Amino acid sequence: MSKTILVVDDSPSIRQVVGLTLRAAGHQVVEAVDGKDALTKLDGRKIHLIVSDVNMPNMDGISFVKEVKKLPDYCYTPILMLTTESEESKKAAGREAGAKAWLLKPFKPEMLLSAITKLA
Amino acid sequence: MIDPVQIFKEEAAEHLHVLETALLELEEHPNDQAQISAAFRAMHTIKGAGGMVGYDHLSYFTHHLETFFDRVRDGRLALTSEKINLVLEARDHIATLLEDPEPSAELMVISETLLRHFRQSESGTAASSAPSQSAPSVAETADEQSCLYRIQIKPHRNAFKDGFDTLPVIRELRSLGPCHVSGYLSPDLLDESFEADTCYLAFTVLLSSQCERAALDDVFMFVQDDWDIQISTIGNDEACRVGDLLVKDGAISPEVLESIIQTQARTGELAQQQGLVDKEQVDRALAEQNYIRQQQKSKQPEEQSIRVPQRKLDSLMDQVGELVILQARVDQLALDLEHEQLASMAEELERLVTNLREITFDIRMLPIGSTFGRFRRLVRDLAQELGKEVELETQGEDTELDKVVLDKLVDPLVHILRNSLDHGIETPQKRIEQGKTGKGLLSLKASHYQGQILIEISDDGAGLDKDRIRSKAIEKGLIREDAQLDNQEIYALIFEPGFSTAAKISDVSGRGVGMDVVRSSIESLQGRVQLESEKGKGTRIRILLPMTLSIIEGLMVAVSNEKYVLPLNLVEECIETSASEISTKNGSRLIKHRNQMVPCLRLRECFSVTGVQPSLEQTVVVRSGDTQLGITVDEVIGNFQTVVRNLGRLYQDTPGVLGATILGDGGIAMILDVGQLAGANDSNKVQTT
Repeated sequence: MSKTILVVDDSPSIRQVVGLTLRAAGHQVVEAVDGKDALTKLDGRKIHLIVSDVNMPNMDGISFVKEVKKLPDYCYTPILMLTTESEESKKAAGREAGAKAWLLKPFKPEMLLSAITKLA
Repeated sequence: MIDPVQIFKEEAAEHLHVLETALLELEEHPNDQAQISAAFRAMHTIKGAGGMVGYDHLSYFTHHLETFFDRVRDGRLALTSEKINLVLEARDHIATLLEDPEPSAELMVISETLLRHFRQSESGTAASSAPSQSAPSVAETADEQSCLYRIQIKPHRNAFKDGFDTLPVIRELRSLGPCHVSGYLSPDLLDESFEADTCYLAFTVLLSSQCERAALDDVFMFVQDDWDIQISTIGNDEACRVGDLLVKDGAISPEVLESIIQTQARTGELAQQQGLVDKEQVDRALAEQNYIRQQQKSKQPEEQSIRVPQRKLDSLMDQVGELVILQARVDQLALDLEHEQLASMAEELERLVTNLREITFDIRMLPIGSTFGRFRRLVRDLAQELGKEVELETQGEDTELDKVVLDKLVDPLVHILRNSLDHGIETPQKRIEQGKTGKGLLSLKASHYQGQILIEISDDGAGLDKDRIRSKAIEKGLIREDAQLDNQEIYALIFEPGFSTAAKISDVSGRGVGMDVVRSSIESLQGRVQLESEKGKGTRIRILLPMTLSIIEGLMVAVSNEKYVLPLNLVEECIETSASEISTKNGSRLIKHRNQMVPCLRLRECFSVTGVQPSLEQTVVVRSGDTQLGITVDEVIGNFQTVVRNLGRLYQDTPGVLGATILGDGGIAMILDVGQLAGANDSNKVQTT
């Protein structure tokens, strides 16, 4: 089933890899470069899932999650955080904020797709 | 009464086949405990049953073979290829001994010689590699069976707020195996007032799956920290009582259950009566119970099967065939009488007959794997004999074919394999000189292709020498010296009678009867055979066969008052043609079909049907192999499913006719052989009888 997925990451290469993987699996992808940009993309359109990086300029992933949880239209949207091994404390903060699903970078495309099937 | 000796012979033949397969497997994987057990069981059964029906000597011989193999099974004796050869020899000897309960003196001498060999090989080498690394035990192999899991999922009350849905989890569980999911309101949260974004759901999932526990945990990767997940396994023999299930679901406590059981009645009903649980909960537990029992039952070792003589199957098929015809007549009658009630009954009857026909048809279908299995031994022995190294690769073993077709297919396939081994695959030395691997690859593939069965036999051997085939064909007078032939036509020459390219006649193949026998036997099965080859690279033979010979999906057409049936799987399209649209060129008529010129024949002329030719005709475009052919008829009537009847002996060889069928009104329609019609049209010698 095709889903619309918001991908938030400041790294163009990660956005590209994630975007390619998701599109190849038949999903629609909306891209954003940081948390602030991502919030502007949450403009009423239907988003099934958010995939977000943690460390980003302007607005980081944790703050972004907190903002999303305040939006009545999007507060129930599943969020998958992409993170590196060293960010254990961030992970706890993220869980606290409401992002319960995490994927460690680097990951294989099939791991991402498998994680998505668990969420939406 | 059936002769017990006959039954034993059949049974023993089957066990010998199992034994052989196991041994050949063991040759590749000498430590495969499952195969060793299979081989041992086969010997054991032959010994036991043989003694029962008077095969004393055979029983004696097999007993000693079994003793020898018992040591292999214990790991006291390592299974070398030399020993496998010996056991294979013994296996063949048993097959010989099967012919007569009281064997000749010579055979008994051979038995003794073989047994002596066994004793020698036993004392010669004790197990070289003591099985210290613990050979896989039978218990471990049993683990591969699917396991019944009981998974209790209680999502966290904030699951929705956290962005989780319960559906993906259940969907993923379902992808692991057959599931029974029951959802209910979580007993812990029942007393709370309702809030829209709180998750009150809980689930019990019964899953039958071969997956490992880790795969299950993986499903709950994101939610395991927050949700209450309990996974337990249900043993295959574990009793499942409604009461226990109610306790597990948390509907009642064990103490309450105990007190109910004291009263000795149906637990579920009682618990409900006493207001301890509601009906819904009991129903759920009952549904779970049902599922568990069903899964446990389905895991009973292997499907039961019975042996039925071929004759009975054939007569069943005949009867079903008659029924199909009768049903068509009822249909016709209902149509003629315009009787509504009869028509609806005819429709119902048609549905039943179709089901019955499919089931009967299915019974006759056998996987081709058993036939492939037989070839492994053949290829191995032949390769050894010829001093070649060959690996036989098989694919599509579970492709099913009508037993009759399968039986008749064995000989031609053996012939082709022999040819490949003898002329195709080179000796290891020669192969290495040519930069190939020393071991040749012979591959046997079966698959479905355009509603037919495709069998491909390919090798990576020497391939065919086109020039040599050509000169040989000229020499034999098969073609004229100036004949213009394309590759396909040249290769087709080797299927001509009296053509054999082998320079010298060897034991294995090339004894005058050549590939023409292969072609004629395939054609007698309504099949086609094709060959492709590249010199030095290998050869590929493709055989296309219908799945069955007895029932055909046909397209009925009419010419004047005559009706004909075309095999539907070969029909590509029906088009309307007026007489003028068909252009004539060099005596053969062509029609333009999808920008291609397709040769075309008029059925009326083929069979000299009298009557007036309508100005607007129908042309059915059919495909035979790679060629298309238009068959012009007066009228296309429609799909028609029918039983093929063979023609009487007098008419059996009529070209272009495959058989006949009885129509609903009692009339007869000829079933056309499109391949032959196409061939006849090609060579412009359409019979006008």
